[in-house]
Amino acid sequence: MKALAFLWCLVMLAACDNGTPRSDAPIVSLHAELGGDATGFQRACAPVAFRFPEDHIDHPGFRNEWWYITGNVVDVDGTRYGFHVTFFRVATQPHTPKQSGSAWETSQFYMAHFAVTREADTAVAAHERFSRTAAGLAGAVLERKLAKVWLEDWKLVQISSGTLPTWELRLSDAASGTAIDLKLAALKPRVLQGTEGYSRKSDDPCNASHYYAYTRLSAEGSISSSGQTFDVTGSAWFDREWSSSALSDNQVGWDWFAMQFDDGRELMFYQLRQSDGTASPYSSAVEIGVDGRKQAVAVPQLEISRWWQSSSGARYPVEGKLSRSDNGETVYFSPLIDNQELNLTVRYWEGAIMLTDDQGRSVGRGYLELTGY
Amino acid sequence: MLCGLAVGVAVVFSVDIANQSAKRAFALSLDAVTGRATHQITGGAAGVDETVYTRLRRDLGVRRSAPIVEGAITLRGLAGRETLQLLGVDLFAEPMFRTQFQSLAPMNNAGRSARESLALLEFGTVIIGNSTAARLGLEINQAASVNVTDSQYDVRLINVVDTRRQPAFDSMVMTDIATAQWLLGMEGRLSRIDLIAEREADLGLIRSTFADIAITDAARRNNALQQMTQAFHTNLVAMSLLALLVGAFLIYNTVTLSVLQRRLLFGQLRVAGVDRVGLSVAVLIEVILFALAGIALGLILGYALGGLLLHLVTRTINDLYFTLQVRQLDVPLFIVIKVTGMALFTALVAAAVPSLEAARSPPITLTQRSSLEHKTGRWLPRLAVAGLVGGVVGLIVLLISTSLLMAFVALFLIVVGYSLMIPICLRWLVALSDRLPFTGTGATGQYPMRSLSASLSRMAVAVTALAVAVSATAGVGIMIGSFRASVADWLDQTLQADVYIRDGESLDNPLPQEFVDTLKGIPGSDGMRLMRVFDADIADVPARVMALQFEGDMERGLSLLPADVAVADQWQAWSKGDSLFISEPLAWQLAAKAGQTLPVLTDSGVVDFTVAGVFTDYGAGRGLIVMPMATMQRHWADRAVSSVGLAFDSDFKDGVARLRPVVKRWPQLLIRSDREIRDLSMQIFDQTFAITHVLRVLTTAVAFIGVLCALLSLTLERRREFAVLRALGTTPAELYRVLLSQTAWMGLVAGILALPLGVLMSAILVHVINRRSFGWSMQFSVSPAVLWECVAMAVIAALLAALYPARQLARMSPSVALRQG
Repeated sequence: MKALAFLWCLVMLAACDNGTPRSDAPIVSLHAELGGDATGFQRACAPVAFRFPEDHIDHPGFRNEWWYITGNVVDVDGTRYGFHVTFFRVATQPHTPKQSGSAWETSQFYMAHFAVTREADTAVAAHERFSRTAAGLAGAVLERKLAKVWLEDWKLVQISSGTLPTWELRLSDAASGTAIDLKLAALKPRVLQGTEGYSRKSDDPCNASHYYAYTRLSAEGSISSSGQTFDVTGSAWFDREWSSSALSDNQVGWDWFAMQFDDGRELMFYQLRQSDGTASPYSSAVEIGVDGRKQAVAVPQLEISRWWQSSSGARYPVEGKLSRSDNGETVYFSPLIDNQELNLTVRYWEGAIMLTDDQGRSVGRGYLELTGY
Repeated sequence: MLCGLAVGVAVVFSVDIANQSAKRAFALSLDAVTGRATHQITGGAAGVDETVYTRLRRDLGVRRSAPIVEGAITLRGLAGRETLQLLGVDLFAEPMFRTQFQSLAPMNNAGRSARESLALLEFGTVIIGNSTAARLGLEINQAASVNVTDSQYDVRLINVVDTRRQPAFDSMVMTDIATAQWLLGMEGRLSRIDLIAEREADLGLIRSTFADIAITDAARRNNALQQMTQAFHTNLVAMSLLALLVGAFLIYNTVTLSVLQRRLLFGQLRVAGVDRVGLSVAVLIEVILFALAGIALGLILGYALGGLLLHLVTRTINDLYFTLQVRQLDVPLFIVIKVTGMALFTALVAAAVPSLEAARSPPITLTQRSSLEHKTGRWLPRLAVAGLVGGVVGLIVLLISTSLLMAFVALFLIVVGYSLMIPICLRWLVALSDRLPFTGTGATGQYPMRSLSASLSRMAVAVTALAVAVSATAGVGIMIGSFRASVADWLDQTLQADVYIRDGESLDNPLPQEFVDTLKGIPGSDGMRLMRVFDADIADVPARVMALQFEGDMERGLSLLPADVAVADQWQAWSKGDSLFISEPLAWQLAAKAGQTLPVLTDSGVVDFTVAGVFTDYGAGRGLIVMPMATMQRHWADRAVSSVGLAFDSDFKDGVARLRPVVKRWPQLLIRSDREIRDLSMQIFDQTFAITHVLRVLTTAVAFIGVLCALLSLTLERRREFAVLRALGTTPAELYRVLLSQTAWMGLVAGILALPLGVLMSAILVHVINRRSFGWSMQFSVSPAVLWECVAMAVIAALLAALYPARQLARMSPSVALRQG
């Protein structure tokens, strides 16, 4: 769900990246500019049966797609890290047959975001790349039935299949000395979000996406920060989503939580914020049990206790609590560090969070995405 | 004074701004194309394999790289067509390279909708400058057609860029790399890959991974490109400075006159109590005010003139070097300041001498004219000695230096030195002609000569200015004449075939193989010369490769410069192994000699070639490398033929008749006879020197105005003298004759004195300056006609200048003049 906002912004950069809060942006005109956007693209209007490994790679008939991975790890000294990688695929227009012999001819491109947070640091180290989906520069392919997604030398490579597949995630930014080299192994089978992987976002049934996730993977390998490399272990979260249109006119942004509890449960919760300040009825929450079973739950009550203002002027709700009405559970969340704003082409807050109970005891870790602030 | 200064300033200013505008336009287009790249990966004639780029990014992680596909295309809209540079880029790779495109790159987009930028990804779309769009009658979202060779493609204009903010777009079409490959037929290939590498070590990995690529230093390469035109610009500046020098004489002349004229007044002022300092200051302030007015007028004139010159400069650059569109006259403040400063300085120096002299003299002598002439007489030998020393120093500098700049310094020293000697020569000549028998006869007797010698102080400067201007005209005339003769000889030598056939659009386009095969069997042909032409870098300097293959009885058509080895042996060496001939300008540029090896970038990597000889060439753009076709094909994967020369046993008409049915099947081909090519070449040659002619005329115009001013003030001053003559019975016609014979004599003297300097100047231009600028060597030939012309020109200029003052004098009423005097 989450990453869609970026694509929205990406296509509408002028409105998103002008340093003013997104809520000031003329939302209607964004949609006007998108005008008839989904025409010619395939759309997600109903559940479809997923096929693997094919659905691990790209769906060029759809406008947007992403491979989204976050994780919380620790090194041998106990220092905590968060990492975030997203490969976005964007089609600028519906697929048309090639008109030339040029290997560069394409209407699609990839954008990748890559960020590492170290608890001792004052800010997240975030990097971004773009490339056309052509000439072998970026893409997603199956090699011996295993998926490979890459943007130049940034890559996500599947190394084993089955119910619990494993992946290798390798990205680096030589200039800043930031890198990750992790092996991710699914600990729970994939979860089909929404209805059998059909995730509806507004009244229009076709404003929806196809969406599946691996909510808990083990992560093992190394993370480099400012040129120093640390061996780390921990857990990760992997989302796959593709769609051609998913938002309605009055949605301005969202708060998205991916929480992994120490007791083995995961809670995914997103709240779509509408232009009038209320939460959209299409906000949603799902709990994945220790056994990997998915259960839709009532949307928790979100209370903000602290806002953090970035140097760009945006204020983000980085601390607060979530109260569930169904089981009475209350979870407090706070950021690993405050400054996890990704000041990239699209500016948003995407950060590692720590989860505590009302006694202040740690109950888990997670990732929070705040867009439209 | 005003007009003289104004014209002098105008000439220097116009040349300066025309040069500046052309250079800036070039720098902009270079910047647009190279951007911030420090290095470039280049391939041979066919460019670089595109997978090199993919591997750079994907396997080596070389992020600071950008692929480029470029070439010349013809863009056609409703209102016309233009040949423009097509630049195919990958916008995702661009932001760190070309500042101009930053606002277009999808990820750097602040002001414009990214959707608009991403639209360039759509196949078959282009972006051009708004000025280009207006000229061609194209509008956004309109279809336009692109012609490349004989193919036509439909593209869509999706955006225009404001060329006032991004002038590089004035002669550029930007498109996506895929569209560029399609339009230029370069699928699978890139023109080059730009790199940003701070250290040489960064390139080590690339070099070791790809054996068959070459990495060139972008700055060095651009420098070499800029150097090509540098010599041309320097020559223009030198010409304009010559005009300023003449202008300086003029300024000196007019300022001096204005002071001299009022010696009596100054004397009276001194008697009345004005002290020396006060007088000098008053004179200097007056001069400054006049000079500023003259300069302002000159700048306005120069701006107007600059437009014309820019047109000529651009045309020459287009003829000689590369396609350059310059539509805007660029007037940087520093040029205005420079020119103003130079002119003001000259005027002040010119005024300082006579005003100081006037201030220093006892008041009584100021009122006596004879004392001044007496003083002037004493100064002449000193000036002459100073001039001689200057000239000798100039010659020494010329002999020991090797740089172009020093050659110009030497030239100026010689010109100034020589001009300082002119006044004393003038006095000798006056004295001499005074004794000649015929000067004593006629109605006015010896009067004209004697009165001239009495006003030597005024006339010397005018004569000097005229002489320098005429010598410049003679010098440049002789130089162009020598050059033209050399080029004509060279063309005769080079054009050995009777008929030449090439692609009508560009020499880069190959001839159809079938056509070449057909030609081989054509009856009546004695011999054939096949040629392939493409660009390649030699020792990091952009050059043009000409691969030749001779068949049958065909003269080689290259004139090799004398070397230690016999010509036949040089050809022998050339035909074997990795050998080549290089053109003289290239040899000059690379400081290369026969026997040396030079690295040439081929399709199979860098290969060291041995220079078997150096041949004469008068191209000014890229240097030429000539090698046998077989050698070329060993190192380049290129089997194409760019042009064919055919020699027929019968005359040309017959040859064309035989060719016509063959060529008809390929309408894109162009047939030309050797005569046509020769005529065309000479036409381009003459066009190229049009600007030089203009500068010659301007220089002479400056001198003409100088003489006119001198005569005008002289007549004013001598009104009373002439009135006396009239009162004594001299008729206006006789007076007219006196004045005209005086000026004719002055013109004659200036013309004759100008000749040695003119010949010397042309010798320096031919043997030193042109060699140092372009690497051309040429025969030096002085045609008597040029010399006669110059003398005649000097006399006519002087006479024309005398007409108006003479009329004034002849018409005046003696009684009025006497009363006023």
